[in-house]
Amino acid sequence: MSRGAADAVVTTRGRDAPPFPLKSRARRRARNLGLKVAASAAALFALFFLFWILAVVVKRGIAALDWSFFTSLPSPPGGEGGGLANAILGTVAMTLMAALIGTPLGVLTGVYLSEFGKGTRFGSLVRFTVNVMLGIPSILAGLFVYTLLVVTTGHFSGWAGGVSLAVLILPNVARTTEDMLGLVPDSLRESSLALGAPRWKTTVGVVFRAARSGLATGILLAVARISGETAPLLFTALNSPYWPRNLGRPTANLTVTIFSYAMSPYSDWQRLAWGASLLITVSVLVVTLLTRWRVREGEA
Amino acid sequence: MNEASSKSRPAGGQRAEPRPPEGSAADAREGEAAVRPPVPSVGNGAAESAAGPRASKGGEAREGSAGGTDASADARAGRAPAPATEELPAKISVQSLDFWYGDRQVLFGNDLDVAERKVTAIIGPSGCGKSTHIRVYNRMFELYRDQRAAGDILLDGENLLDPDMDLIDLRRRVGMIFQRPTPFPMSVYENVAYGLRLHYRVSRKQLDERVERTLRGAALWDEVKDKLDEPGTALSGGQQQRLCIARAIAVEPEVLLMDEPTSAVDPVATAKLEELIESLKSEFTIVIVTHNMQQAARISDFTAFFFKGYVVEFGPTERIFTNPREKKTEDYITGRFG
Repeated sequence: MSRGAADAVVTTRGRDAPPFPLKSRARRRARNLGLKVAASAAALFALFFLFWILAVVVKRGIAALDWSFFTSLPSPPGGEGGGLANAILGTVAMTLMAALIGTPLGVLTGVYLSEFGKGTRFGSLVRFTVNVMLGIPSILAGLFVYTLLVVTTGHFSGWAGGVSLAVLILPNVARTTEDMLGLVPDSLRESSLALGAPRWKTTVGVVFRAARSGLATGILLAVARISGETAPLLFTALNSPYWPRNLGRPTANLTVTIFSYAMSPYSDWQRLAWGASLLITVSVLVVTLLTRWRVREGEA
Repeated sequence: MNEASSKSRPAGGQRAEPRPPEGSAADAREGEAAVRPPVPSVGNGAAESAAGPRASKGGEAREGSAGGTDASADARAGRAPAPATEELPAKISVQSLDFWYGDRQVLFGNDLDVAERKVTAIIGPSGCGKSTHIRVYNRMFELYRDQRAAGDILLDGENLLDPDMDLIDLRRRVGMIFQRPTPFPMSVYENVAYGLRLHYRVSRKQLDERVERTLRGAALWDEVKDKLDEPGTALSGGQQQRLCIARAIAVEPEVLLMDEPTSAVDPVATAKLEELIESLKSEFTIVIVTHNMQQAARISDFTAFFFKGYVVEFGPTERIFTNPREKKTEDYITGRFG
């Protein structure tokens, strides 16, 4: 039928006579070019600032990175030398704590959302809550834990810092887990269940395996993200010039250190703040690149 | 030919009450006459009655009156008489199976007897409920909240739709192969060992032997014996599907459900799979859904033709393909629609 109609057009009018006037080719090209230029300019603009920031951080930071930066305590105000070993340790400890608390809870929440709570009222409620938590400004997470753990115990502590970071990582991991498990085709679940596997075995033995690379990536990225959080720590771990021997006390960490040292009048502290900035930036960058590389390996 | 007298419903005959509520169910179905395709009907019922006293299978002598009610109920409901499995014992006996996706009913009073250690093919146009039908046999549909089945499906006389039926046990007994190969994200070996480990206590050595035997049974051993540790997903499509069959038969099921198992593989792999299905027949009862009528003709012993959720015709494959009783079946088989 349609072929017949097309034939008719061709035979009665010929290929050179379109049914309507053609749109201007020049105008289409101009519009195409215009959009291309605008998009590229916007991208360049963003990249320009990104590289500017990176360049300054690297230039000022690299000067601060020496052996003592990684091994010694900060010097007293106005003093020479010193390092941020305590802050590095504190940040690592609190990030790890947050990951240890937040990741299992987040993964389980994601498993519930993807495997069990699909289409249930409670599932939608949980999903909604997770989305709200994702949108909460991190300073609110800090305030929340402040009233929960700092006010009640009477002092700032590394534990409170870890918990506030856990509050931030949980919804991230839950969301990533749900998304990653959601990518696993139902046919794989059905195949496992059809063999007589119970639901948990299917989830752990097959669905998790299928999603493992995406899960690992998502969790690493979430950890990298919270390692750079400042606001929640300000209200919980605060900071400290001492070694983080006891997480029940205020605990040194890189981000709050940057915040306070950068504002200080002492040039040596400012130098350390630049060093800490570079360290965090590079760490996050490395983790991101590693996970990207992992993902690409996984796909291949 | 004595299909007409071959009503074989071993467990059906054992029912305590002679299915009195049948009439109401039938009436309910009458209401759907508009959407119903011209299905078998009085013609079959009559033929059946004309055949005289039916030789009940399994030594179950049915009461004449009960049988009579049954036949007329069948006729009124416009159902195809289920039988046609000749003298063979029914491994699975589907009795007035209805199925819903939410409010939409997609299967209507399906009756079907699946003969033991034979291949039963289910053919019909897309969307006629073939896959839906076999997904009830292992209760796979229960994964999805809005899907619902009603009726009886007797597996060796036991109603598998009974809520007391142990799902894990049922699925060990009734295996399933899917349209697309679904190797698990693990090694070839682990794929086959997965189901074995689920259900049986086995030593490593027993497992090794078993995996090899199963892979041989699935005609895959020679191709994968050197890559047992490679991921199952690295195999070719046809090999993956045979791996899935190996995985399924490893747990020693009694019935194998195959949902268009060859639709995603090339012709050579299809030929191998068909050969495999033929060879599996001696050990397993196989129900295969297929779009490919030549395939049904080649490999099956019995064929059921589905249309819009009804079992339009069911009988020995040879008869269905050479001498269909229903116009609809003939039209479909000769390619006039579908």
